[in-house]
Amino acid sequence: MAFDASYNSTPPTGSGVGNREQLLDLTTVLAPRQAPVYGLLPKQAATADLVEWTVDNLRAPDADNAVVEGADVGTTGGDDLKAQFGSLSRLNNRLQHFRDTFNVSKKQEIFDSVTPVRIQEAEEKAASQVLRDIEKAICSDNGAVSGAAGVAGKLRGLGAWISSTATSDDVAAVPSDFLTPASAILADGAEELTEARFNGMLTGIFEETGENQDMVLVAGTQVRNSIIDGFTRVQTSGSATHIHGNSTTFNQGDGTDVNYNVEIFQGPYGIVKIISANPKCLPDQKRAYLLDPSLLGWSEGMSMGSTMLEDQGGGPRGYIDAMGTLCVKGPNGLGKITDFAV
Amino acid sequence: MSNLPTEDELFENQFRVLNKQMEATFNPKMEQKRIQGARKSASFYKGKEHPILGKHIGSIPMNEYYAMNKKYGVGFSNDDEFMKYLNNKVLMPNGMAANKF
Repeated sequence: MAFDASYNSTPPTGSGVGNREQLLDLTTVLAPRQAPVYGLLPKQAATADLVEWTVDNLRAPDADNAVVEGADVGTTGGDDLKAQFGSLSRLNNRLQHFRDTFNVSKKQEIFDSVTPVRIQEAEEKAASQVLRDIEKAICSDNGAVSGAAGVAGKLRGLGAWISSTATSDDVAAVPSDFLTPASAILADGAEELTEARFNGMLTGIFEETGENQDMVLVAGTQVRNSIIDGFTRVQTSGSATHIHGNSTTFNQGDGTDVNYNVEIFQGPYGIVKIISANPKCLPDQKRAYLLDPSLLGWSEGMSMGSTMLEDQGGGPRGYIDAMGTLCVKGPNGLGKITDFAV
Repeated sequence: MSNLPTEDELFENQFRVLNKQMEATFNPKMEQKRIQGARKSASFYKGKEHPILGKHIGSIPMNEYYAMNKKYGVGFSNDDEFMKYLNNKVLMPNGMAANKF
């Protein structure tokens, strides 16, 4: 016996041709929109494609700085006149122009839709996309690219700034005096991320700056798990070393539950904040940056804005764009984690 | 004619997009949810300490953290006096910190 089945719906005949569709009034946009690093950066104006700033340091302290009694400056037994600004250096970065376009056909603009697929929503979505692009560029390992005919200018990302060796790209290499100390970069994929290594990272930065800075660890999920879950333990076992069995599982759990709380700790290195990075904007989840916002900046050539273009008959259209670059005023005061054994 | 943003505009634009999100989520229901998340997070740190970072003195939802960043300036959280006040008067009474500063 043949049934009139719902799949008999080849128009214009069949029992199923009159069945209604069901489309729930629900659209999920499952993508993190946060831009925690971009949000941390102090903003300033940019007025040129090559944004430049200077950095300086102090010479090595001299315990034997002693003057022979009665000796004049520049005489035998006295000290030579010195140029104090020999290490003053110029760092720079290139502006990057971010843009995302949007358009909606006239038909779609007037149709009733589950998800409002109209020009305003398209514009807002494009703004979110550009913000994520900016965050991704900041957190990237990109080298700077000088814009030329057919070549888009790009900024140097944090991954390239925080390096113990001079990088080669289209802006000035960081002078050796201002390179990030090797101890502040954890990149050995064969070694576990132990307490000793993490401690060494913080110490390496302290030895450069000599003060407790405003330190913020913007971490991928695996780093956060290792540093928070793997290290933190009941207070009585403070002398224990990094042992998995002794660790306590925290809110990050198995890494599937990522929250956007800023966790604040007070300890030997002052107040340290841990923030979850936007996982989509890191090269991978073993990446983390130890940042001091006062050593960073975002030079903005053009703040994020929307421009509507002429509707030439097809429908409204426009673009969102922003222009800026990352300023790193002291690579030697920053750190990063790029790889470790898990 | 220059179309460079003024300092004030830059300051506003810095958080414009983030604020847009905040407007969408900054309602009593979501605020409560964020506070609950922060409380839950803080409760995990009670009676424990981090061997390197030390004791936990606050869990602040990211939206509120950036709002404070805007209001009080970048680096506000490194000011001991400010953090002491925040910890003692706001975070501890609301269960959003595991230890007293």
